[in-house]
Amino acid sequence: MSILDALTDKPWLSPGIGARAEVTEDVERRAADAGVFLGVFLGVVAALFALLASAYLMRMGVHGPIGHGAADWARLAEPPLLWVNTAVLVLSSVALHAATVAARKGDGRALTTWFLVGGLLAVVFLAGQITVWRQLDTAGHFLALHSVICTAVDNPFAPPPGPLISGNPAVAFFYLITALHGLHILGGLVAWARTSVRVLRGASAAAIAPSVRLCARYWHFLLLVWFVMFGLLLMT
Amino acid sequence: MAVAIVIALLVLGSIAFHLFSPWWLTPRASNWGSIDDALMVTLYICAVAFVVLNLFIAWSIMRYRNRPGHSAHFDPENTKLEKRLTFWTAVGIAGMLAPGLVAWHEYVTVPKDAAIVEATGQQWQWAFRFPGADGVLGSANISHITPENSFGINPRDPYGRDDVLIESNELRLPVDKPVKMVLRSKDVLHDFYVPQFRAKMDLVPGIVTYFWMTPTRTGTYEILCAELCGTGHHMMRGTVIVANERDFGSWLSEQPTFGQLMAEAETGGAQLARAVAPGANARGAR
Amino acid sequence: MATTLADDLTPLHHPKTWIGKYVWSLDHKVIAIQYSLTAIAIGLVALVLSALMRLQLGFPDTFDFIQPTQYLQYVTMHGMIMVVYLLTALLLGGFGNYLIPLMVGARDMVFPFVNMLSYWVYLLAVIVLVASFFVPGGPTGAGWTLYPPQTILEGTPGHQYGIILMLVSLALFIVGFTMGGLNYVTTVLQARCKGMTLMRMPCSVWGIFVASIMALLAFPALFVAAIMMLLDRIAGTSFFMPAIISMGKELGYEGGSPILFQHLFWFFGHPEVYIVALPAFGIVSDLISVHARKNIFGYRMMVWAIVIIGALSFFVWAHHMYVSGMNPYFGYFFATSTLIIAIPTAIKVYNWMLTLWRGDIHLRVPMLFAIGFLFSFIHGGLTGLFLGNVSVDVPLSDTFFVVGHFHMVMGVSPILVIFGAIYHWYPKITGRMWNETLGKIHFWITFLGVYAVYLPMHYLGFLGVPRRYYALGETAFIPDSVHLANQAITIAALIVFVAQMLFFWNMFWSLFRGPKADPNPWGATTLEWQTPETPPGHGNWGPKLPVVYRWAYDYSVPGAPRDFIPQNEPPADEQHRS
Repeated sequence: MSILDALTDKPWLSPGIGARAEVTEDVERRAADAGVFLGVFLGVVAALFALLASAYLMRMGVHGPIGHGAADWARLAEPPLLWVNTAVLVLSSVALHAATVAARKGDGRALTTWFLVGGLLAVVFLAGQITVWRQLDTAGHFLALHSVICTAVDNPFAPPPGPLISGNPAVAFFYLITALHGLHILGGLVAWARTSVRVLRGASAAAIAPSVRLCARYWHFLLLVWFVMFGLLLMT
Repeated sequence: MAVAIVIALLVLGSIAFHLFSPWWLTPRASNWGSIDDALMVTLYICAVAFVVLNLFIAWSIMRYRNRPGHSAHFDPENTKLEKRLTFWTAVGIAGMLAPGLVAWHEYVTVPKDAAIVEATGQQWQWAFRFPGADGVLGSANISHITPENSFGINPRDPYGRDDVLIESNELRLPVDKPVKMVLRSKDVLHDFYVPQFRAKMDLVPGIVTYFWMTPTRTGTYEILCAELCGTGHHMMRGTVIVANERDFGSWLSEQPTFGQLMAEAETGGAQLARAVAPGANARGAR
Repeated sequence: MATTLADDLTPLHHPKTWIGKYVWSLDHKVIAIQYSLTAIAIGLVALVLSALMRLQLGFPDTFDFIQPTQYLQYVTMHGMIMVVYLLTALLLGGFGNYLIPLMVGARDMVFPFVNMLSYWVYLLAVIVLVASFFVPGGPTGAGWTLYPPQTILEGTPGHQYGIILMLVSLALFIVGFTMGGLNYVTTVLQARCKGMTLMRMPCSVWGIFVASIMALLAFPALFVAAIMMLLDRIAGTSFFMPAIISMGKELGYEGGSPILFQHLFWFFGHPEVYIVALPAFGIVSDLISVHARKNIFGYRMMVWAIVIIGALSFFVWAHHMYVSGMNPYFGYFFATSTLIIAIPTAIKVYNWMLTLWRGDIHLRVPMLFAIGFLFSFIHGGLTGLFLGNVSVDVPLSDTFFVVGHFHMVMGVSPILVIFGAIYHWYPKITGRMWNETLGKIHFWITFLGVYAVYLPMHYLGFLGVPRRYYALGETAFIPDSVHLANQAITIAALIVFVAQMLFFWNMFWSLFRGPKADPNPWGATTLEWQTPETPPGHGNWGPKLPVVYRWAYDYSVPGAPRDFIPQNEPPADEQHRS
């Protein structure tokens, strides 16, 4: 029954058990529930990053002719390390994909290996991103959160003492976007760590396959988000 | 039962309130009759809907209230009726949207011959600027602001020298001449609002906004700020005096121009040089 | 997030201790009550703030402790609390939690642990919000719209700590809500019992379901805006802050766009109106149907209208910004989309009226509130057309007309539904009945009182009285009668305020002394009234899940022995099989 049929059904005409006769009890449905839950959550994440991207474009001045954005936007030269990080994230996604394939085949050893490698690569990605931040910092696009917080605590009545993230909005957006993306990866890593514990304790491939599939789906999605965001940063 | 009567009474009461309350649009003093017309069209269409819908509710409650021997109909839907209602609603909506859009089109289309007047807002006062003899406002920016140059007019812009500056809350406008109000803010959002003119627009720091109107009645009107701008919001008042051409002209000629003010300031000499030099102000610190 | 999913992979477990049952509870019904009580408690704070505001407006120069600073703080916190922390939390977190699993025939939300976490994060958000009252400088007074630049500048109350706490609290609220919202959506999609097709769901579930999806997609805009503003405030970035000379000092900002914030805010803010309205639409449909003993008229149209309104509401946000200085040509588009959204909304109103028509109307307290809602919503909806109709908005924006309009449409209307819903489901939630007389008195004072409060405000707005003014002072176009009106409004508001105590007393007293309630006192068809226990026990349905055989509106079916047929009653020809 398509969604359109479902929504045009005249429900008062046909009493009876009807189209939704096959319903499993709560316990058997869990994996499917988690899939839907994750799917909707990815929608929320997509909305978040889409809004961030449109704010980015608007602030950059693509709407300049109608009075939005400004001329203070200075193009940021992305550090080359970002390309390496991107490659690492791709490999991380590939590894998790391999893990799902292994899970489908019931190959416990391959699953364990690929799953652990995938997560560790994501850790490497995060480390790489932090290195990029440090490079930007030394290149003069400073990020002085520490002193910011000190100032705000010491004297909140004072207006912010000048730009403490570099005044260039391109840089500020770079930090914001990479930070939010990194936080989402970090969230994924928490789920990954919990599943890893189960893997290392010797849970069967069949038992953890659903969790592995969800992790992989989340990873692929964040990779996609990263592609879009990285593309945005590169193009502007 | 009581609720049906009360709803009917509330409808009648609302109509009576509308007719007899002392509060209504202020007498209009600008060309924006089209806005008032769109408002009245909207009001009448909405009033009809308000009366009909609520009286139908009151009647239904009265007629179909629970009482012995009465029972409800089983009535799942009536597509024909729903379509008809949708159609007539759409007609009503279109009926009020059309004059609304027409008036808006007028509102955003500034006539070529409109005189330019600039209003600048800051917490919590107004200041005004006329373009002077050349009819062009000199370019202005926050970064040019110094104690002597509170408007931030670019001292190197030749168009700015003859700009007439009104550093008080009192603005005068000539009657029956279209005016394009150009709006700037030095700090936060404000809104230039004169109820009798109907028109209003926010002042947004960083960008220049505008609206236009033609004052049609001489008199003195209050300028209010209609966008929350901090603790002094309610005290951010100004006055606009709409005068005839002659009075307006003589008043305007008494006001100082930017060139005159700068010349006065130049007695110190060095000040102007400092203002002209790029990055002479706080931005230099960065 | 996924971590907690793993915990939820274990089947329903029954708590043993009192704390497990009532504090760290995983039961959706307990969480619903926790959500509701927290929301109502913080809502009472907002109610007190509104009374203080009204005292200042009605009797200026009388109360020394209300200075412009305090007044703006009351305005801001009243608005923010009512819209986000009361209405959104109560309708989705409270009613959503209680009704969804019961109405779709599930044992609980699909991920009870995440659901519990949602409440605790919400509570944390409320605590952070309350904390802002006690920090130096007090809570923010920037108006609930938090428009930059003034929000974080000197000259605005609470620009020191208050605004930081406000933004942090909002971010927390959004995180908490997202956990809950994901649960509501997944539960509706996955956990419906046997036979519960989408079109057999009661309108309440539809309203809450669509509102949850909208909230999930709209709140990220506020989240992004809050984070960016927080960075502007504490890190000196210039996302929203242009070059500014504030109080004679040049600040280190440059190039930011205040209008960008407004776009982000209203991209959240307008759907937010419908996030509050849609659950109320859904619930009131059920109240009217049950108490008029008649099926909701045009059920399919009602469902479609909810979905269409939900979708369209993402394309109307800039009607809050006609005079904001944005590109004026946007006005054509947004005026048109705004007025188009009035059509499905009007259809909903017609169908409520046509449900009353040829019904068998029992004027019990919940029904009175539902009828009160119809009146206030018609009023508030129609005045919305003025403000949506772009050029008509020009003279009316930022006047008391706006205040009157949005209070009628998204203050009074949903609150009347909430009262109606509490009276309606109270017997199921507590197993006891409230006092009818007190309920009726509460209705009459509230209903008539709020109209006395808000009707005159529209006319003050026509006159041009601006909103968010601490005092009107001497203004030539404002006659003395306006001050009289303000006094009358204040007195009416205070009477309504006091009348709410009747409600709380009624609820509290009935909890202990109310007569035992029948399991299905209104003769309703929906599943929540068919539970084996009242109030429903943990797991809701005893050993066996219900099976649904019919839609939610089989009232007064010709030939049926009673004037309602519960959803889980098999048709005659299937009776022998079950």
